[in-house]
Amino acid sequence: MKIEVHDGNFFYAKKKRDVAPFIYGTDINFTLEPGHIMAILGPNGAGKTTLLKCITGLHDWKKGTTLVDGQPINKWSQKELWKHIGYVPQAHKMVFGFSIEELVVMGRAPYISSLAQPKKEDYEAAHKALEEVGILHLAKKSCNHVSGGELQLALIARTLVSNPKVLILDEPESHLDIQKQVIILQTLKRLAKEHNISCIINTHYPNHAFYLADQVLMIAKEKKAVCGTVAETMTESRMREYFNIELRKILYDQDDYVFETMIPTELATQREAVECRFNDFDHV
Amino acid sequence: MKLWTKITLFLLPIVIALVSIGIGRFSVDFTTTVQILLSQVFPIEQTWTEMEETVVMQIRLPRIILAILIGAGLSIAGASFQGMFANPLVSADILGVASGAAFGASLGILLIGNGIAAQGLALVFGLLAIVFTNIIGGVGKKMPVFMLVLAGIVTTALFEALISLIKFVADPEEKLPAITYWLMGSLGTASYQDLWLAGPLIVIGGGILLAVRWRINLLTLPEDEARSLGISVGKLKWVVIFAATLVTAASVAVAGIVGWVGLIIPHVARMLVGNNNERVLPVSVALGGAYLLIIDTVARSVTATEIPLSILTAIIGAPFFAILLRKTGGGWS
Amino acid sequence: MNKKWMATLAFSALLLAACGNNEEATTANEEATADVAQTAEERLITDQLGREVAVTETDRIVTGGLLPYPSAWYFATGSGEEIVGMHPNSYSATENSILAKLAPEMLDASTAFVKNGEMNIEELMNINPDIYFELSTDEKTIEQAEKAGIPTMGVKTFDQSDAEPLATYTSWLELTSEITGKAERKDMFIEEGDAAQAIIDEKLATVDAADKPKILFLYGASADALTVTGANFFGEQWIKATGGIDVAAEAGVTGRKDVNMEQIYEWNPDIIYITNFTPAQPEDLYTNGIGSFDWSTLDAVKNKQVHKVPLGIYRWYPPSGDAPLMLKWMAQKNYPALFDYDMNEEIKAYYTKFYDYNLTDEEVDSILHPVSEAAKVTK
Repeated sequence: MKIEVHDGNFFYAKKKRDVAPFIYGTDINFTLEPGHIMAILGPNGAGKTTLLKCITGLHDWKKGTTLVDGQPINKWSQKELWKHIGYVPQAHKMVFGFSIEELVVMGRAPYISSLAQPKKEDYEAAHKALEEVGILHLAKKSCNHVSGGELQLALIARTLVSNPKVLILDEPESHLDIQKQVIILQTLKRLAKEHNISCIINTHYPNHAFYLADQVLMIAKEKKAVCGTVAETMTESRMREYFNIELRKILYDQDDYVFETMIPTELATQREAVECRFNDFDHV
Repeated sequence: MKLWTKITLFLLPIVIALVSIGIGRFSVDFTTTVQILLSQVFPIEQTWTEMEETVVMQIRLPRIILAILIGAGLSIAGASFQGMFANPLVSADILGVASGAAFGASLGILLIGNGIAAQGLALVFGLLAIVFTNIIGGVGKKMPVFMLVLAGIVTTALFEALISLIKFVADPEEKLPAITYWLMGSLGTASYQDLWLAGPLIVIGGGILLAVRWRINLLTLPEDEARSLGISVGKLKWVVIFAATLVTAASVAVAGIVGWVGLIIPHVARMLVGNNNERVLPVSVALGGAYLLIIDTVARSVTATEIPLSILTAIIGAPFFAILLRKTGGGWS
Repeated sequence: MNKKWMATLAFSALLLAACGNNEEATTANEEATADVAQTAEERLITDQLGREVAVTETDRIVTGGLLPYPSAWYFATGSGEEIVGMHPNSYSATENSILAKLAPEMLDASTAFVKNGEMNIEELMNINPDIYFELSTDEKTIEQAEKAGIPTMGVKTFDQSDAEPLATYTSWLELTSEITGKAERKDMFIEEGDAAQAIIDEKLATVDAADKPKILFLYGASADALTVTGANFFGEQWIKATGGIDVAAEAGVTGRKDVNMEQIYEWNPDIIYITNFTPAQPEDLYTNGIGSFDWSTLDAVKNKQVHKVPLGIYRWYPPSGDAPLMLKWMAQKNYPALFDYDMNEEIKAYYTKFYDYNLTDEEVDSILHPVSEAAKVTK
């Protein structure tokens, strides 16, 4: 599914008719092709979560529009739209501890009539989605009794049960340990590839963008919103401008693989302090 | 839920009703009771007295049905409000519905006397209370739940004051005791008239809540998240509010303010079947109906004088809830 | 200069007055403890709470929650002039009773000091009572009136003399005679009451315990609540004195309580008496006119044995000046065969004797069949 945003911009107003300065330095413009992944990078307070909500219509753009498969988003019926778009919020504690499968089956809501309850096939879909993200064994556990990463996977599974063509994820890997981060990222990349699902993902990690993204949207307060391929967008100079910090792009290749990341120069250690030689960790 | 659990829960109020209809201050032996009941459908030769038939058919039967309906109604309304507000500590009172309806009924007793007027006004003011709460809380597509709760507290305070005013101007010999007694909650004068008036409303409201029960799960999520699952949150909230108010007002009009049932029963239901409202609501119906029926049977049969329901529900409910709070620390996972 | 003088004078006068008051108070206290006889100006009367109340004048009497007391004052003194204020509920009883004819001056009494069942102290001070009578249980009101400098008598009702109506009434008459010095009516009342009871006791001696009628006093009956009275209330004593069985008291009901219809079925009383504290009439039971209650299967209803308690000088259910008549009336309702006197004549004779008033037949009828309005409070 193709997502386009034309001249989108937004501001928070206390009252409906109030006008305030736009929060993005320039209007947002991008096109996301089916099966592609876009990472949104930006410092805290840049309005990344707001941007996701505007793209999906949870907030109304104050200017501009989102097109979903060429049709303006407000022309879509809510029910139809959310069959295609899956929104994955940051994992949070629930008031009522639903079981994982109960949580996941909620994603079937667009398919279940207003006065009906989920049927067997809805639960089957939930189980399939759980299997897809690899946590079927947790189906009966309370969502307040699993780890953050497992809950995040469950939330992804919840969007999968409605067979979405677009996934919108709000920092799905934050607050997770490295192993869980990897699982989430791998899962997303696989879903994009296998099911041709487009993804828009907020992230704080440059290396995640390198790993996942086909394109990057970079925003910061009072800065131009830039959108382009990873290589052209994530340059050292732009990172300095947008994040206000000096970064070094690191490339390291081994066999058939390339590791690509960015590290703050200030975090570099003096050579004498480290006992290892370059790329040789074996004797440490 | 397993089939036999379903059957047990469904049969629970019915079995208790059968036992309850044989209990009372007036002694009618069990076989006579059954014969009287069966004679309504099948031609059975009358071997019992007029009085026995009146007791079973005119006094106990409507009262038992009302007790089940009201217990079930208050419980399902409580469970729905708890789900809708994602707050296990609320019940119908939170929106000012109970006090609004109570004010309406007091006004009816004061101005017109009793009966239909009081019941009609209870409904009107119950609904008025919810509208009022929403005006304070801010009406709109995206209702801020927290504001709504605060507005409910304001509404409750207002209607409680109005009830006090009514009690103040009511004449102390006839009407004040009637209002005071009714406010404490009682089914002491339950009749078919009450049943026909409140019953259909409770059934309609309860039916709506049962139909949307799974969707109430979605309302426990943050609003954007719920909307991202393709439901119109505002509309669904209003449906739940309206249905739960209908049930509450109808109950209050007939039985006064019966406290604690709407708060306690959904918790018991959750302890039994987990947090999924798809199960919590029907189980609340069964448990609530059975619970209030037991309470009311005690209220009408233990002593020669009627014991107000709220006294019993609070004596049982408050300690139970205290234990629950200590045990769970306020979390319901 | 002139003004200064005036001010000094006024101040000294105030000071003197204050000292004077103090002295008076101390002497009063000393006299009280020494139990010395009082001057005619001020007497100490012990009320039913055991408090000693200083009384000087007895010309302006106001009565509060002790509803039957205005009629008791009239009964004891033969005059209603002194009653300048009474509870609205006493007023409605007076207005709808023969007392309005016996002592029409009592209808001039003010009811303004009681609103919604609560006494307003400033309104009470406006009436300027010499003595204020209040229920002994209403300690707050007594204290309030006392603080305002109004001599206040605490008077007991069913907690006096085990709720025995005649003895209770006698105690009120005793208190009143102590205040007014008129004891003649009190003695007549005791004599008449004893005589009536003696006649009843004599005839009832032959009655087998098993033949005693089961009796229920219906205190209130509305669609909302059915209220009965049981033990420790006047009804129990009336029933005891006239040879009946108090079904409510036997079932453990004390005071006045709400019951359900099923309980009344279980009791199935032979006779039901309806008090004057509810608008309900026997007809309402015969025709199922209250809420959706079905009375028709009760023996008392089938046999037309539902009676409204009469209203003479006051409501007959609580203690009243007509209490000896209540005994005779109830005994006759309970045992029509045993008591063959003509109740109408009994009432006429009693009223001539005690109130010096010759009742017409219509007036007798209005006593025996009081209107529903007599239960309502005039606001």
